[in-house]
Amino acid sequence: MADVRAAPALEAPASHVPSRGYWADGLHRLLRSRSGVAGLIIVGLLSLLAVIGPMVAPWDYRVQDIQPVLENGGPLPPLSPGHLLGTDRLGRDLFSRTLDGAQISMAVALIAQVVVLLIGFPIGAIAGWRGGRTDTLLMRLTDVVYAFPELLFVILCTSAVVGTPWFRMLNGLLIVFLAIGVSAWVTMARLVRAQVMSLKYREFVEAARATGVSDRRILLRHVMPNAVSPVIVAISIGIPGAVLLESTLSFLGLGVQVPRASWGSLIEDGIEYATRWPWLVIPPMVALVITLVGFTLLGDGLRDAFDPRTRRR
Amino acid sequence: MLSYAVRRLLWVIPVLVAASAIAFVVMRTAPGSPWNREGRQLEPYIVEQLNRDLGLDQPLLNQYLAWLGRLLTGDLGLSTSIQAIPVNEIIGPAVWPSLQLGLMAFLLAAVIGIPLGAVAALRHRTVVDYAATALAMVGMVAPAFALAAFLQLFFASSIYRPEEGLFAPGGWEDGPRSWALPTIALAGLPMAQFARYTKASMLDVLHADYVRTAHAKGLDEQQIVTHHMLRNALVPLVTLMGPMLAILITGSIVVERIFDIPGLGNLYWSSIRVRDYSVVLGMTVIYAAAVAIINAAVDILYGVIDPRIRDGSVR
Repeated sequence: MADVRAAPALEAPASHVPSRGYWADGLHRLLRSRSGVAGLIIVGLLSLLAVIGPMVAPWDYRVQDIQPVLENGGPLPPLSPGHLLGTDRLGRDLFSRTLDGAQISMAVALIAQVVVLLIGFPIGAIAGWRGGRTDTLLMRLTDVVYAFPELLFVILCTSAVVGTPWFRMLNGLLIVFLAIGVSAWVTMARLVRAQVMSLKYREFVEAARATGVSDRRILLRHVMPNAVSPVIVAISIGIPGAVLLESTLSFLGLGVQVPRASWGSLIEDGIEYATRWPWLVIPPMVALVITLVGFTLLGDGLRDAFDPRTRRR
Repeated sequence: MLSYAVRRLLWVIPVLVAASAIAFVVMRTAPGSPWNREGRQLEPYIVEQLNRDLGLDQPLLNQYLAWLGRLLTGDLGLSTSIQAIPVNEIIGPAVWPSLQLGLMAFLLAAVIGIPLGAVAALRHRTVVDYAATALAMVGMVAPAFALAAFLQLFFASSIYRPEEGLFAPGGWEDGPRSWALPTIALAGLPMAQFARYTKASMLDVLHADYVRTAHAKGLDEQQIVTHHMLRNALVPLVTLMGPMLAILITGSIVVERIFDIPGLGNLYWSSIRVRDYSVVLGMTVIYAAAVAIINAAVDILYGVIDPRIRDGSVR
């Protein structure tokens, strides 16, 4: 009888170690890492700016306050009356234009990744699930896309629509979203394929199949949910690349179209005069670099928090 | 092993065909043609004559198949720019600057990035680690176009140095004077990647059994780092190096345009702009071939390093 009474004491002291679910556990790890929190804060602030930017911007990004610029004989320097960061050559308020760029970068960060997901996820899932010839065919397709260096492929696709009405849709952003999606889906497809393949023969899938669950339902309800966290990590790691690609395209004149300006096109505008009027390139540069740092930190933080292979670090 | 290598290399061919087909279709569906650009418009009968001479009046499929046939003999056709120069002669001279620039940037990135990552791992969670990681982060997020433009502005601009400066603002003929800045600009991102990957994989081997054994044997620290740790830590980097090298040597559009380097990136950009169909198509094939061959080489190399891969038991 003594054994029976002693038994409860052998159990783990549940009250001291609260058990957490998978997501709460990952979130906890993310919040414990300093760089992850820094990334979270930067991205949070950026999202806030993207939403409230147009409301707090002192000027409309299109308005040309041209009179003082003509009197000054050049763009207004920072701390001019009414223009905190100065203006460009057309008298447009630089602070407001940089603020507007936050919206574009956030849109690219989110929507381009949705396009990547919409193309890459189904293809990867089908390749991994069906296997055999379907798999070989789809994977060779990814080989073909991989055969192009990323920027070149994007430029090739973009140049196919230059001058058509499509090119000007959403100020050129539609094409940017599609171009990033079309070039970046391959990585997503390969990741999802690997995930599905590793899950396909696991016991819980066999169990579902044994109880007569349909293929479609197994894939959607049993396999997919288990592939979600690596997919989220891959998305967040892909974001800085997408933002960088957009600004590079805009810098080359193939991205965001006037009168809207992304940070890339602002830098392109200002770089020519950077020795005469250095304040033109500094705000968009700083904004772009902070954004990229923020997303990179957040992506690394998420990977460390959710990827079991890096957990011990 | 040999059959694995052969099979892997044979896959390159369909990939090349498909990639060139994509480039062909995209270029042909693009609005505009080689004959009307920048507002210039040729007389209709001249356009007709030009199209006939270059076979552009044939059905698209026939054009593509004819192009494929010529490709087998190594002929990339005639340029559809103002002069009908063979594409081979246009692309040939552009290969060297891009190849040279890419290799120099790759070496610079490896020479700085790998030690940086190794030091960060060895001094994990110290000031040295944080400094090295921060430096790698800068390389990671500094956009190549901004880096290139700034280097040009501050080290080669005539405004700060009225006399002939140490660095040339552009071109490729001046030797090291014109090579230095674009190499640095191009090396930023790969340097950061090298540092990050080296750090991660060094951390993996830091506490490996064979490293502990080496310590126990009383080997000196430097020998353990170079002979035991780095050698094993660098194996996973092979997969990183392939695509990286392929991207670097095929020419960076941004860096080549900013520094006005007569390389492949610049040529690709201008050929797309003027709708020089055959140059774009020819370059696409060369790109795809370079990437596919390098990737195949990496896979084969990996098979040599890790025998489990080549028999298909591990992917």
